[in-house]
Amino acid sequence: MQDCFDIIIIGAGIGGITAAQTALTSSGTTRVLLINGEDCPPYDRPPLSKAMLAGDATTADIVLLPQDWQDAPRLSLRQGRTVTAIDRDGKSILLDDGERLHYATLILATGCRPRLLDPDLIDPACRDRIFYLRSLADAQRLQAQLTATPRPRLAIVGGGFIGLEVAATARQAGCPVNVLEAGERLIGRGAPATVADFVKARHEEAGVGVHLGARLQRIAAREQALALRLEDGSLLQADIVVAGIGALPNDELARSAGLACDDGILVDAACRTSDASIFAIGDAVRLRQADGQRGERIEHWNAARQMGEVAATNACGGAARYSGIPWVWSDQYALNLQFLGVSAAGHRHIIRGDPASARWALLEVRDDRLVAATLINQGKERRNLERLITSETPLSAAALAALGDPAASLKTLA
Amino acid sequence: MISPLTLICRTEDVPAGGALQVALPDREPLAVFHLQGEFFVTDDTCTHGAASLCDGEIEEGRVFCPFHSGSFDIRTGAPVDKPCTRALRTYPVRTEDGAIYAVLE
Repeated sequence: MQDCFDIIIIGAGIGGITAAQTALTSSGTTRVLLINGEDCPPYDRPPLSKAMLAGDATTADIVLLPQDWQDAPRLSLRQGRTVTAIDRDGKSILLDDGERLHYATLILATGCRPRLLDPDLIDPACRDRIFYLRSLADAQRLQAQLTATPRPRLAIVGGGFIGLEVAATARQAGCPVNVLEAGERLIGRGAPATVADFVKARHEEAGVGVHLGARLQRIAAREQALALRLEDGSLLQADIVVAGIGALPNDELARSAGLACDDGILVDAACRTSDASIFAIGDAVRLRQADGQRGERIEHWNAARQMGEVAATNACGGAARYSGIPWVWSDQYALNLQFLGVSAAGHRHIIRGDPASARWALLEVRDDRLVAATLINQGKERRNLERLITSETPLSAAALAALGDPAASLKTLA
Repeated sequence: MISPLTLICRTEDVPAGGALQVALPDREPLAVFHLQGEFFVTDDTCTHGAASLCDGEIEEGRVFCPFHSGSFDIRTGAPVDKPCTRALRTYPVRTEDGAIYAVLE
């Protein structure tokens, strides 16, 4: 049947694409349909806040699915189409143009969307100067702003990865930049204070105004510009505002189909939802903990990729489980930052290398085991550190000393 | 027509299982890899980010980009792990009297 597929994947980000490729390679007969809600070839999102925003990359540079894959005979693509409903009893989905398609297995890779600023804080006259960054179209709109003459002044709300990457790119394009972070340090959860301070210093050195504990009270139009008033009464001028204040899971389709959701589509370690024929992966999901505790949403590129492999493997009859440790990167200026494992207060810190050299790592140890690492321009050590964290190898005093000695190889420890 | 050979470096300059970055005038840097007694010459800059692959980890014939952990098959330049999707340019190599030459054009 033309409208019947072994696997239908909704969403064509890194998770959906990986699921499609995994399904096509792990079985010689599986027919896959990939539905891309955007009307352009599937693309990779991480460069949107970096090379794409800087104008250093084109859409051709961020293509996720090379042409030979797009032409694969067992892969069908629907582009610029959205799914309006899932009929779980009939195992079919309905597209916005009325087309109905049947699945044996459905994989939801619907991603997330930016959390928006509270509209009550914004003078309606300013709305067209508030920007968010999630899609290629968002990046292209913002890029046009950053290259305007004269350069616009940016106020960036949110000192997380998106905000800081936009700050670095805009600063390098010659825009005056202020970053407003409501918390007491940049990056927030996930980054040790030492690293947050290091990143803050790098931004200040580049001329970015970094404001911590800065809570936005009002964005108003003032003559040709915007005036941002903070809760402490201070005022800041800007021409445009970019908000990077988190993301919300796109779980509406799953919820309206009656799948269990809790601020994210609930899945087990096999990426299975409450319907055994439906998997969900990536930014849209929340992992159920084995002990029944509310699990995490992991909005990381690599987690979406791994879950895509897990869901597709299981959809093809395998028995894969998602078990990766968190790994996320950020590129700002000439800094490549990588965060491995789960950072937390109370861990013993070991500095490997010299922070003044801009090539160093902060390693976190708990009970003589390596549990987390932040790497600054030290990606070469990532794989060995990941093995040490994953294997939970107990570290001797000599091994701990080796961790702190950049001349000592980690390969022998891992 | 015989392709011109360019002297890249000496074999002893490339550690076994490792890589050496070579900067020649008027072109992007090259990477020379030493795998089990064989030498391979590729572009050094990752096709995905602006990272030097010589700064990456080499495992089982693959080089992992230090920035985002995408990987390439060193022998063929084919992308193996995402986010790398475009092939790395490789160059034919000849070693002679302890010197490594490549056909760069």
